Amino acid sequence: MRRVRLFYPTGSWLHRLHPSTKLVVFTACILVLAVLPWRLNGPLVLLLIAGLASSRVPFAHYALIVILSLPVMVISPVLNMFWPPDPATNHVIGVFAPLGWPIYAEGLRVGVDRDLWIGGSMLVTIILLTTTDLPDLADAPTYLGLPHVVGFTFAATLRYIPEVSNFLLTLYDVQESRGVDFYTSNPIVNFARRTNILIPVLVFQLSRASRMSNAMESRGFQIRHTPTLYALRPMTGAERAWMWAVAAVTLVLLALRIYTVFVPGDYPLEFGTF
Amino acid sequence: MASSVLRYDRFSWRFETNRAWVLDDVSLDVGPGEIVGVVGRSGCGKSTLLLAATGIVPHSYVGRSKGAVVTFGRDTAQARPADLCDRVAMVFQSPDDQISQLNVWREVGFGPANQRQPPDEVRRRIDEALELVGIGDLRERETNALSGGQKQKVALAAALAMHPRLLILDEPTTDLDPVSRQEVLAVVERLRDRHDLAIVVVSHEVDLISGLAERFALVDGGRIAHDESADRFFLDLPALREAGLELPQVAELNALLHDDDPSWPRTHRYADTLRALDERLATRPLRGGDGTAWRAYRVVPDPPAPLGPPLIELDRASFTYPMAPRPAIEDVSLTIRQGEFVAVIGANGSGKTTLTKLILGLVEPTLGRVLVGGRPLRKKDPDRVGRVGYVFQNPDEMLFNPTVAEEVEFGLKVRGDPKPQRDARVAEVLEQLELAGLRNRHPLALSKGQRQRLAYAAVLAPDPPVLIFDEPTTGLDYGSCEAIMAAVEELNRAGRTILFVTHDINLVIRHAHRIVVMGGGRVQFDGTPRALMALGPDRLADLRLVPPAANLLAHRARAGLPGDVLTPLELYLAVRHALRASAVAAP
Repeated sequence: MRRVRLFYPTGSWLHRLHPSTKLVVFTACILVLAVLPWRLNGPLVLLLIAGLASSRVPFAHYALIVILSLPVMVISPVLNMFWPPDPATNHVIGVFAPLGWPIYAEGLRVGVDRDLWIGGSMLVTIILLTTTDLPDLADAPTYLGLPHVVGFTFAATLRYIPEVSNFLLTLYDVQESRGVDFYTSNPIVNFARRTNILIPVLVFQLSRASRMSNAMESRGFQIRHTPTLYALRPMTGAERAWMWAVAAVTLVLLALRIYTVFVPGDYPLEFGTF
Repeated sequence: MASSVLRYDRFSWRFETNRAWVLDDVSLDVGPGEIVGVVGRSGCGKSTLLLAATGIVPHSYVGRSKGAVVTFGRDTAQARPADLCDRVAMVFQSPDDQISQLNVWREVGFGPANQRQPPDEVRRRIDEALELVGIGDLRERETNALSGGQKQKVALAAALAMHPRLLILDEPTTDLDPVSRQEVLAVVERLRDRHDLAIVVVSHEVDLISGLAERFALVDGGRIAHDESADRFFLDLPALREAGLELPQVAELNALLHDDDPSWPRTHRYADTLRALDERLATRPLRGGDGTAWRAYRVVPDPPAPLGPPLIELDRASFTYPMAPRPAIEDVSLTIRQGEFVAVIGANGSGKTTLTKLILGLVEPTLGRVLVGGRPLRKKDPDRVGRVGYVFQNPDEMLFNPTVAEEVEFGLKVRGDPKPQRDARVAEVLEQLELAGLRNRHPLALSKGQRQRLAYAAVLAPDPPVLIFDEPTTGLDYGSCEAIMAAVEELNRAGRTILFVTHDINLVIRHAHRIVVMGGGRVQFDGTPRALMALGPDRLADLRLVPPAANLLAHRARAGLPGDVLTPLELYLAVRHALRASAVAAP
């Protein structure tokens, strides 16, 4: 693996949107998807699908992520509709004829709710990563006023994921060349052998972290001093308004959700249930 | 010296974990604009010397010091590295240990931005540094997608963007292929014109930096054993040899010629030597005919004709990694016979590693076939460890068992050898490699040399007829390289077939029987070391190879010296012959 990259430049409005605005909207969507009921998450997910389509990023570019998410999205409603957490309080809406299993309405609703949460999170992540170049994304937290160490850590992590992964693959090769079999029929043995590899990886990366921190300090990096270079262009007024509006709506929704936790009741759109 | 930019004043340092002093009573001055080469064998204290100049030692390590290091008038015991960063910049050995940003321009701007330069000034410096290093075209590239040579140039540009007055280079070319090394050194050469910039460059590859520095310091056992101008430093070649260093080929040649004729210039400079050769040798071509008159210069013996049966066969083999746009290995046909010593060389990304993976059976060819001993080698073959042994660059990464004895026994166990046979073989191999007294120790508790011997023991225990060495000499000094090569030659003489992957052309032309040059996933050259050297520097440059200085002189001298010389001694013998011929031709 040479690099971590999903960015696909098309020049769409989402690509042009300021990375800091996108980061705030992304965070807001993840929070909102986690707390809203399915009746509200459904339209939000449709909105995200429309957003992704408008980015003009071809499906093939992110198809792998969708395919990897699908099994989880299928399993969640199936498990919940046949085996809900509390069958006694569920009402049956039908029977799965081939096996004679009852289908529980509440279980199905919880399954769909989880799917919307997982699918929505996946969509918003795809939108963020396909429309934002990673270095710009790494600069976004600093632009938003967070400590520069956050952006630096994010950039350094993305920078070193391929390095560590290549090192790991090399170790697999070296040990396989000595006859270590990582694919025996015993998964415990395989797990133990793979865990063995992690020890030299950890030792090497710790010593690398020490060398890297020396290099960073010799180049003037200090926690107490923010670097002067802001790579991102200034936000436009509209972008700033968008960001604040989304943040405000999210805060209101979170506050309402917290209120419903402490004051149970019958709220519209099943807002009080989760 | 009042005007020193860097001064070691009787400085000593030892790490808390070790009682021995790594640096012992070191005194050294570096003046403004001076270029100083610091040389010495691996582990002699060179890198610690540099870390002390930046303040990383003592601030980032626990240890004890005596004396002082003063950088631009500030005692590094008081000034932290970040306090010195507006005047001192350092390029570390591995670019991957210092590049932290995701694209090139951000990486180059990282230092000036930390220096709190105004954003416009940071941008100006980014452009200036990229221009100076000649990598303006890489500006927007992702750092992860760069080659090793490109990364090191980015690291150099990042250091220069900080506008240092002292640039410290710690083995800046160790991990690079030959052409990338030359490119990085060419950039440093260009910096010589900046008279305000002092440079300290550390390397164990003396030949590589011999033409670069004006002054050299030899570090031996933590002390400065010699500190002289370059001209004087290379007069005492026996001292360098005693210190385990590779002699600069040009200096070695001139020392030999000077012994014959005291008027011959004792220089280590390539251009002066070429001029002397052109002035003193008749310009008529001396090469010619069947070359029999020249045979006397061939000191390195010709390789034996490969007579054994084919052991490794690649038949139009290709391999493409999943989702890769082009094959890593393409249409490679290669036959290696039993008992051959084959070196595989080529630039980074040329396909060397994938070739070894194919032979080891770690990946299977997408097209064609690969046979070892007449049949394919597969991951699941229980006898695989007994057919091909693989020695990796860093032996530590090969060791994973709890004791030395179990480490050696592992391959035998995989192959299914019975216990009594295994015990006997383990005892035999441990004895051979002088590890018998350590059989119950944990492998990672051994010294570096012992760990290396243990890695060899583990690979040799199943007695594989083929051994693949993957860059085992990278980063090692000359003495250690020669020790490894002697061990490999011994294994070859004992009948084992050797496949030796390396960047070091100078090393393999003296030892290998045959050289395979990889490029773009294909075999670009396959022949003897002499045939490769005879191609000449221009054709070698096409193959991304750089000939050793002795061979380069033979090609560039107007007198037409034999182009297949491999060592300074061979060139000396050829020049001596040519001088006599010139003397005869002169009247």
